[in-house]
Amino acid sequence: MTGYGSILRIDLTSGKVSSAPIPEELCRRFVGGAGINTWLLWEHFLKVDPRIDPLSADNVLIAGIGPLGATPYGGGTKMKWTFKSPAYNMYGDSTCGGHFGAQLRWAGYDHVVITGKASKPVYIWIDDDTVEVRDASRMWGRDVDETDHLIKMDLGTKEVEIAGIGQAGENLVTYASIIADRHRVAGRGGSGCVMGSKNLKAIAVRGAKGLEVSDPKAFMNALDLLIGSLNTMSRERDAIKLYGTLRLTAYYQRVGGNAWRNCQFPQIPEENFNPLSQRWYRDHIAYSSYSCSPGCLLSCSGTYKVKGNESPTAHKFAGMKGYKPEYLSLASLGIMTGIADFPAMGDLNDRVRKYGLDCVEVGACCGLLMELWQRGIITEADTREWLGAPLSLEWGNHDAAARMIDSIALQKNRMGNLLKAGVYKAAQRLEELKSAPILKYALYGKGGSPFNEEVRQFPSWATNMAVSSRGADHLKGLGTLDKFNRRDIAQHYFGDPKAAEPLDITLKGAGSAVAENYTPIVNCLGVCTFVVDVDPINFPPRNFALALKAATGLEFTEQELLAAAERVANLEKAFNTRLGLRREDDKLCERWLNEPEAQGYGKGWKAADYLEKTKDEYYEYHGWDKKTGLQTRKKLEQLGMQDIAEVLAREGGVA
Amino acid sequence: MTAAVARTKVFRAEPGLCTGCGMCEMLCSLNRAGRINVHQARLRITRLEKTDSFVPVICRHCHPAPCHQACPVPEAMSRDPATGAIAIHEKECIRCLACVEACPFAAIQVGPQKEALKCDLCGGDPICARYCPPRVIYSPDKPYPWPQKSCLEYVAPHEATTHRRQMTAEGHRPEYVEGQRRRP
Repeated sequence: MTGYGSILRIDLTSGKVSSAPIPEELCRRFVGGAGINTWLLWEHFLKVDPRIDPLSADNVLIAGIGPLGATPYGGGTKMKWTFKSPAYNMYGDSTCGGHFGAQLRWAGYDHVVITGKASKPVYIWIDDDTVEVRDASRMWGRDVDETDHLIKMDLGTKEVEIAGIGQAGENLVTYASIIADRHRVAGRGGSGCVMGSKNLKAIAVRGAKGLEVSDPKAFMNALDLLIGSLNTMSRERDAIKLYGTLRLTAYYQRVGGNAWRNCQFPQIPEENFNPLSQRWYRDHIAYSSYSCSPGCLLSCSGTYKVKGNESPTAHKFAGMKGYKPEYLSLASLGIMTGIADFPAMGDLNDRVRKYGLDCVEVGACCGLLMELWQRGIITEADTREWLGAPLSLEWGNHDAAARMIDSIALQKNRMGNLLKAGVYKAAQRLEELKSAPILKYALYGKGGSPFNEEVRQFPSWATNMAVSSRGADHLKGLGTLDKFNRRDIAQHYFGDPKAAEPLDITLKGAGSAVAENYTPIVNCLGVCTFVVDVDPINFPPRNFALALKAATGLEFTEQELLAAAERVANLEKAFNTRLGLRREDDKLCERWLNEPEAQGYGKGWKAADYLEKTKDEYYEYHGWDKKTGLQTRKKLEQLGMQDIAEVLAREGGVA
Repeated sequence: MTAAVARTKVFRAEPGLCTGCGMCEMLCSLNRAGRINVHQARLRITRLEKTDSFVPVICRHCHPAPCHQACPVPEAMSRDPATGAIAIHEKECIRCLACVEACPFAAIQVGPQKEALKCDLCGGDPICARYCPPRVIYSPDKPYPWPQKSCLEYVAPHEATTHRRQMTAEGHRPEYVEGQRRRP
């Protein structure tokens, strides 16, 4: 079909490679990108028991990119990795930008399905129609930068894009990440761990085939519409251009969304805020800005360079060059650990990237241990035992955080072993060791770490975290209603601006459900959510439908596109239902549930006060059963998902 | 005179502010070859690893043009009197690639069929200049979809200074650099 690539299937056990075009019916049903990825995962686990260990050879790793990615539509290019998550032991997917996805699409493949396990370390080389599985024993044990260099040397060309893992993935740290282009991280869920468990070091791709566009003239009109939309919201657009997601630091400081010192306080203390703010970054160490992926109109990526005189500790990192951190890296490695110093935080971020880890989970682990140190639960005797040398874990200790990151990735000492399976398992093990309540200090959700930010006074954000299909984060349903006070969107969804009222729970669960049904549009199209915000007013779905028709010739109405997105959300839920997840599994960690917020805007708020109510509303608006949290047969049939309902009914997963 | 028009009015590029988004490459290939393939584009973005910057390599339509002088077939290349653009005529071209070698800026690309791909200014309204998001490649007198704002507002302060110093050293004084530098 015009504008769509094919599905490439690689079995690492036998080395068999095959490719087939995507059936049109599948594109109609799930659009592409994340949608078709999820379908491929579902299809795989119809043949394989879904309850397998995520690290077994039967797990599958699917890379996919939607029909508007790698085109000049202007939304950037974002690809999706889908797998059964080792970090959460449930549905897992993760997004990354970069040129890797674009090259994959230009080589003619929209989806790559990797099954089996290689007998020795290998990497996959995709050069248009030639697909090879090559030996990677030279790259094994190397970090992301070295791997990138060695593969380019091996292939004898620099014109390739590489997505691979560092030492963390090889050592099966459950929250290891795949790193594309050396710095675009597919962070959540442990994508790198799945890759490592298959003995797959990297995928290298070069695409020279390019893409066809069904109707170039209409395509240009669609691009004009997107630019028009961006121009109407010029303030947000300029903020993204200038700061990227770092712009949130100052905003969260005002509304109390920064999780200072393992989420004990919702705001960074005044004296520490400045060195962590976007303004400081821009005025002192920003070096360049560029687009991470082809076709991006905003280019929020960048690099920084430390001269050595910017901050008290900057002399240690003089001459360091690094990639501009996202807000979440800053929140995890700077705010959670109390390291109020940008260059030091940047150094940690660079370590995490090189080892191929997930900064969120690392931040939660460091934050937990530091808080236990503050409370006197772990002492110097413990760190001596774990590391072989005493280490002080007080707040803001860059050295301690760096040592922790090294030990997690390299797995050479007991500290690494303790933190290998994530913050939740580490807290459980510490509880046994210390026989003291520790779980109540940890920040976790569904067995892994949630996004490191304060959610207690934002009910729709908290609901999203509790119900998220891939663990605990807000990106499955960007509930911008209360956190960003979007009255216009509330009016659009419910005809009631009260749904965007801050410090209020009216319609917040409903807001989460509606946003969750809307967000897959962006993920299925393969564009970046920073450009086309989850914003049905400024970026209406009918514009996406026009662009999709121009690019592929597939005619979608606005309603059909929304229905496809809802189908994707339901399919993710159905996968988790098969794993036995029910309403009682949709929960938050104890700190957010029962500990009132200490200060600031949302003082005294705790999630236990409203979570059950918002969850009721959430299931209701999804058309699911309130009591069990299961999908109803009626809803599934209404979405044309009879086959999925059949499978669920056989396992007692339909209400 | 026509050449001067081509250099200053139709088409310009300010290297150093390029974000490497590749819109120009993709749109160029879509416009001229009918499909999105950066290998079929008539311009190219080069990444300078050392300074972490991107440079759009575009044809300057030099006067006199070394590619035109090197071309062994008299009918294969000509200068358009209206736009000042030097274009390759595909039918007459014998694909000797002498122009590619002659270009001092490496601005002529070699396509998948080993043909020389050269910018011809899209007949006076280059699509790359119309859509370049940071307005690095631009036509000063053509409509532009973004608000008429200087791209210097979007770059880090030191980038703007370096850029301006560079431009001054080269003797260029583009009109929008004259204004006050605005800190975000």
